[in-house]
Amino acid sequence: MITLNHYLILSGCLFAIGMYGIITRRNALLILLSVELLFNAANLSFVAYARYLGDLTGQVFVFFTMVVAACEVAIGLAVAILLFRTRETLNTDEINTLKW
Amino acid sequence: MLALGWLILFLPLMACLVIAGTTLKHEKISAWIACGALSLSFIFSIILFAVLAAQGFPTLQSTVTILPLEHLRLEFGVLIDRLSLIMLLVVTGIGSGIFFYSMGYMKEDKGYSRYFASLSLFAFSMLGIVVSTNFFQTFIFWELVGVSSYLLIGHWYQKDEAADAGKKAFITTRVGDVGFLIGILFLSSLSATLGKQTLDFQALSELLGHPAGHEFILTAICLLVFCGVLGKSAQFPLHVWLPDAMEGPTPVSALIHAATMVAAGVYLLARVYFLFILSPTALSVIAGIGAFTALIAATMALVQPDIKKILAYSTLSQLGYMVMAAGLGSSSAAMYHLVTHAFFKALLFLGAGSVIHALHTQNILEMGGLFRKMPVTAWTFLIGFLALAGVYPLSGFWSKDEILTLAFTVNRPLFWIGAGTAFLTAFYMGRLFFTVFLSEPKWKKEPHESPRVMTTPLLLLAFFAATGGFFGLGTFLHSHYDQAIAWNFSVVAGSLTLSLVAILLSYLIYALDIPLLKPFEKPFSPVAGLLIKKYYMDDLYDVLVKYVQQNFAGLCDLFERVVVVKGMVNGTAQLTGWAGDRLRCLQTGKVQFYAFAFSAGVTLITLFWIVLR
Amino acid sequence: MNEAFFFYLFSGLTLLAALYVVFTKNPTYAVLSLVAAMFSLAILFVLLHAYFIAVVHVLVYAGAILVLFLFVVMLLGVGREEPASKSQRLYRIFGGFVVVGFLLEIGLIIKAVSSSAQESPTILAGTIEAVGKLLFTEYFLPFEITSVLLLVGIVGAVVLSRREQMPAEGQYLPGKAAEGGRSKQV
Repeated sequence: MITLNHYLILSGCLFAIGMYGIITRRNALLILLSVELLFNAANLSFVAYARYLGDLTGQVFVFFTMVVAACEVAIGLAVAILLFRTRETLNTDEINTLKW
Repeated sequence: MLALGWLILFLPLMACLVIAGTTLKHEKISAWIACGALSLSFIFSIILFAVLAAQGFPTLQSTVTILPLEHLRLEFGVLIDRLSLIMLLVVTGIGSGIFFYSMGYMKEDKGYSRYFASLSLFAFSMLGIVVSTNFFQTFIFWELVGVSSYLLIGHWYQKDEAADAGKKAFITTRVGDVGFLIGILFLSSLSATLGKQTLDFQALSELLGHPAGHEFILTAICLLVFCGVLGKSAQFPLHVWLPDAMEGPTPVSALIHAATMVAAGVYLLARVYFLFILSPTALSVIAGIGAFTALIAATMALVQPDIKKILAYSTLSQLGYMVMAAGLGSSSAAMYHLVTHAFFKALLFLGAGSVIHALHTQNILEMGGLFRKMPVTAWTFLIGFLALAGVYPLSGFWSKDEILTLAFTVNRPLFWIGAGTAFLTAFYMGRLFFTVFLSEPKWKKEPHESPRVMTTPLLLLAFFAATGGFFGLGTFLHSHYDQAIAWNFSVVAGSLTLSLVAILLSYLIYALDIPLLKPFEKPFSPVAGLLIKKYYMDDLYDVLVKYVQQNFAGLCDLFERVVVVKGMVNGTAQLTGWAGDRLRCLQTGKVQFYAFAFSAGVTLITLFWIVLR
Repeated sequence: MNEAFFFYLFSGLTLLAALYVVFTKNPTYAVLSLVAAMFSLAILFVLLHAYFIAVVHVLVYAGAILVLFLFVVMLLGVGREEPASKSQRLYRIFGGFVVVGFLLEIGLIIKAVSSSAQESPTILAGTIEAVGKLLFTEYFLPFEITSVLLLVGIVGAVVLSRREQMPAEGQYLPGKAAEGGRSKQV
């Protein structure tokens, strides 16, 4: 029998993996990819809750999350392109103009 | 009828505002506005008196709430009863006379309009105290009176003495007012414990009608409220400002520092007598301070060469009489003396003003022989002098002997002090009168009698100073709190004899130049020095201010500079700067580090949350 | 039984794909691996009876977002990452600690909040009809607002990625670009 907890643990693992990716990757594009993982971890728990609590609102929320993700990707990739154009690199180690 | 009361109160304020706002440039108009407003107030007061006389003098009150607090409503109102009616008549009546007198006296003064605006402000403030319905209103007007007094003492602010005297008066009275305010606060909380928090005089008198216990706190409250009286009525040890206040124009001295404002303290005593009657301890302290002030002020008046200062010390002494009367258990005797004193002391000051106006000096040793030259002034001055000395049948006789009789029956030592003061009073006033009017002339320029606008008030005041004892004021003002006073023939005869002897002595010494005092001059010269130095009270305060207060202020200043400014203000800035300098290293500008910090933070906060559960 | 089988199969697949995304050196592979993760996630959605969401998920993520990613990766020609520096290794170690701690906490929380009522699934089905009804009735206003958000996203992307007119020297001067750039725009 698969319970809600199974899904929640899976969601937590996905989130942790995404977090690890954000911390360790140095390529801006791959950091964005890891952010997608976080989004989907959240989506998974939304849908799981919708199923186990009997409320479709969770699924509606996933819909909205997707919209936000789409926008985020569009803007994020545009920024990445701009960054690459001006700096000729996507390595975050070399992008530190916000330093003190 | 109460509308009239409001009108009486606010007419002078309107005059003040109109003068200050529009007619500062037009001196004649300003003067007429001020005089007109106060005269109207006087006429309304008379009408009010007449109407209420027909109704048997009911107590009327109308109030407006100006600040409703949770448990306490701060009100502003008009209270009309026998006490305030008499005081209204005195303030507006004598006030109008002095306003008109000022038109002559202050002629060609630069601040003519300003002077009348300040006078009107004073009249408004004084009337506010008179008709006040509660302690809160009294306190407000108490301070307003202080402000207008300050403005008027410092009218000739170009003179350093005048400016200093104004400051001295203001600051000295403030010392007493602090006590007054604390007393009011205490009283407000006491009334709360008795059932209803209020500052209203009538409500308080009902509330305190049957107090159970609270003797200690009541005594404390009485003494604190009396602190206000000490300051405003210039009683020992806060009397030092009044002689200096004579730097102001003479009409101001007459109105404010003799007839009305300094009497406000006595009026307050009478107004809240229901409170003082509850504390015999406080009453005996008050009586003692009054008697002491009366005596020392009279002794200081003996040696003064300045005509206005002599009158100022005399005022101190007479105020001491009034306070003593209140302390001995009869507020009506105090008020009676207040009213008669207002008449004859205003008269004396205006007479002195007339003399000063003619000779341009205040030193009595430079005057002399003015009786022929200024007959109106001299005759009216004589009436004032005899009234003050308490010669039958002038007004001062009745009121003073009521106080002396009271003292004789209640407290014998104070009676002897009072009698001694009466003797001294007659003597120093004789010295003043005979030196100025009957001795050899010492002036160089021929003096002339003052103009009609100045002599008319003199005549009017002289009439009242002479006949003030025949209106039955003492019985009119008698309240059920007061001690009944039975006339004692021996006391009256004794004090009258004392006065007459003193006058005779002074006549022999100062008018006829018989050197009776010669043998005493040598052995008593240290005493005379002490008196001229005013018992070193001013020097004592100087020392207090110079060494105690200045050092304390220096200490506070040091604390402020080192701890507050250097330590706290600059220290905070430095700490913030230092912390920012260190913490900004955290801003590596690297996304990776931010991501790591963020994740670690989330993890730690979650951990914290879990542990807390 | 079937459900459990599919759940374990596809959740394992998802995790593996996700790990590959995080650890691979090649960005192209990472994107492709994420596509695989999205597909297996969609199947998990189906298991949860969220049919509409599953379909939209595949369409939006695999079909649009990740294609866009792939496109950008190709466009920019991002190669393999450089070998890890010393600080990079530190990040890996401490990041690992943080992540493991985070996972433990998740476990603790799940243990703390779980109740028997959530053990068995409801018979709810996320069909297009059911979700659509909810979207167009109760959540109508937020739904409409998302369209504004998308519009803003489009405009933002266009503005950001538009190539400004470069000065002749090849130096980027914002002021000059702003005044001269508009008319000569190709």
